[in-house]
Amino acid sequence: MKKQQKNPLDKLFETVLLPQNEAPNSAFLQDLEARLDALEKKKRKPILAWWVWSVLGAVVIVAGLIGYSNKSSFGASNASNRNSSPYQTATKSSALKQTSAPTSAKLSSKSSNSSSQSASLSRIPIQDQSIISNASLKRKFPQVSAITTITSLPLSSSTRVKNRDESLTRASTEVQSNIDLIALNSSLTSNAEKEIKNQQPTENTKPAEITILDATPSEISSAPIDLKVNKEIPLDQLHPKQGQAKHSVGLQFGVSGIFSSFEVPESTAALAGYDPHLYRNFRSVSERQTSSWDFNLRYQFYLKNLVIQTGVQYLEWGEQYKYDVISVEGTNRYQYVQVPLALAYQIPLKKVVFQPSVGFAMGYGLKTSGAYIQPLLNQVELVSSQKWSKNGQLQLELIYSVSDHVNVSIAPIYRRTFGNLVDNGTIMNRYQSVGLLTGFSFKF
Amino acid sequence: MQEPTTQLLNEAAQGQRRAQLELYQLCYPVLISVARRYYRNSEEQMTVVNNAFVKAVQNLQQYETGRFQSWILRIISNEIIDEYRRNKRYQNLYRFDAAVEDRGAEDFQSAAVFTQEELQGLLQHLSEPARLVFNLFAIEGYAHKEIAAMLGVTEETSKWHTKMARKKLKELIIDQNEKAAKKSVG
Repeated sequence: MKKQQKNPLDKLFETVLLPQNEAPNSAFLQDLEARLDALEKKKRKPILAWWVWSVLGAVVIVAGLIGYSNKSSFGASNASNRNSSPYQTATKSSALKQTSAPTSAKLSSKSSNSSSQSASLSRIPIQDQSIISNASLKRKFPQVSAITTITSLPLSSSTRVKNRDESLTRASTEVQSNIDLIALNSSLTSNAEKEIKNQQPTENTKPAEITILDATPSEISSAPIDLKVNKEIPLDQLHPKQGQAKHSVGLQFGVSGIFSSFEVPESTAALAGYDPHLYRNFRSVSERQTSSWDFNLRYQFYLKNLVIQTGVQYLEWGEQYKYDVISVEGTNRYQYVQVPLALAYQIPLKKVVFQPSVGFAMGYGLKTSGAYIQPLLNQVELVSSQKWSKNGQLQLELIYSVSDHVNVSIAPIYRRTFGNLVDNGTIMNRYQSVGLLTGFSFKF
Repeated sequence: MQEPTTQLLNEAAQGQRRAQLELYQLCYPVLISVARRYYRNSEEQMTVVNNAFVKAVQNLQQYETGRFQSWILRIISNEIIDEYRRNKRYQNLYRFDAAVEDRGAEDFQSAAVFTQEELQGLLQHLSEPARLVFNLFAIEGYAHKEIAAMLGVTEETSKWHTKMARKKLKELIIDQNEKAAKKSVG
């Protein structure tokens, strides 16, 4: 800054207009506080929120993996049990491989005393939704005094029971359902046991033409027994429609791009010099879209191809702003937790299921404060979004079944608020978002 | 203006609201006196004062040594110039209405005593470009070369606006003196 020789007029102004001690009035202080708040908000990064969601997601994923691996290892442990038990022999036939539901068999026998064997029917397999009682077995096979029980045999598996007279009975389910039972003649028990001990897995087990219920004692052979030993399913847990899941719970994570649109008042009597055209243009160039993380905890109920969805969702609305005129910039983030209700329809494709859904959600605002430039373009106005929000959503989901109970999915999603989420008379904002969610679900 | 302590500056830079408000109280007289020379409207004054202070807080880490008042004066001057550039009024800088005679400014004499408010009122009679340039040149002490660089105009334009401002101010002061004389005679 160079000082030239002072003009008297310049000197007059320079000397008289020196700063004088005075304190700012309350309007200045309030405005400053708002600006400092905006500055602080801009500096503060949502580290905590990131951590919370990351930890939650990690916990759920780990829990899911543990659950899934436990389920797998259960079958493996049963297989090892089979090897250790002389009464449990497994055969994994090609027919068994095609079964859609895991089944198991347990062969128990009280064979130490062949002359006084008592029937034991702790678990009864099911065939065509019928439950066979011990009594009915005795009626069918009066000579049977000891019953070997087999539970939860694989669908369409066949079981050959070797009798003392070396005749072969092949018992099979006629349809894709759990195989029923095998009853053994008590007089054949010891032989059967020996055979079972020596049983080697056979790969080509042919389905039988007759069921065990139709078999007569003479048809019971002494051929080796093909037994699938897998998982014990108590009788009361067996459901006629086992394998058809009716419910699912799952999680979805994703990112959405938020698009804000606003209205400006055409005229405001209280604001002298307000120019709606200028205000609209200024906000258009000063505000732009932002993105948010989405998190959905979802429950689905299946009615054939129709699916009813609900759950809990976390999402955000908002925008970024940079008001050059007043040198204020930041991001408005309105955070909501909402409960959706949606109707979906499942369309099976080759390897995936296409599931479009449409729904409505009611949300509660966790964080509703925001800031916008005032219509006179001179300062920031603090606003609050609606405490309760309403929005509609459309989701196009592609689902791939990893297993009978686990699905993974990817879903483009579109959401829009119903009405203005922010509305204080001069600042009126509504929002739309387009996002991509990925997730998984457990069916049961 | 009392110079702020290093501790106060550090605390304000760290975001402690109490320290920031204390610093604001110290800076406010300087900031508002500058703002009043440029703007008549109190909302405009508030905007520029607070914008300048927030910028100062944001950049406190960059302030090392020297007179704090000079530093914050430069911030508010830049803020005013930025605001001027953002505004449509910027194009008025290039309007040359007529040649201006500078004679008389040097021999300016006035027996009248002016208050701050009166001089601030006189400044508001100037066109915005003239007021801006006059403030920067006559009161804040920038050279025409610096002003030209800051505003993106030629030195001649800066000089022209200064002369224009002086001429107008002289007329206003003379007019005011005459009115005061008539009033005292009457």
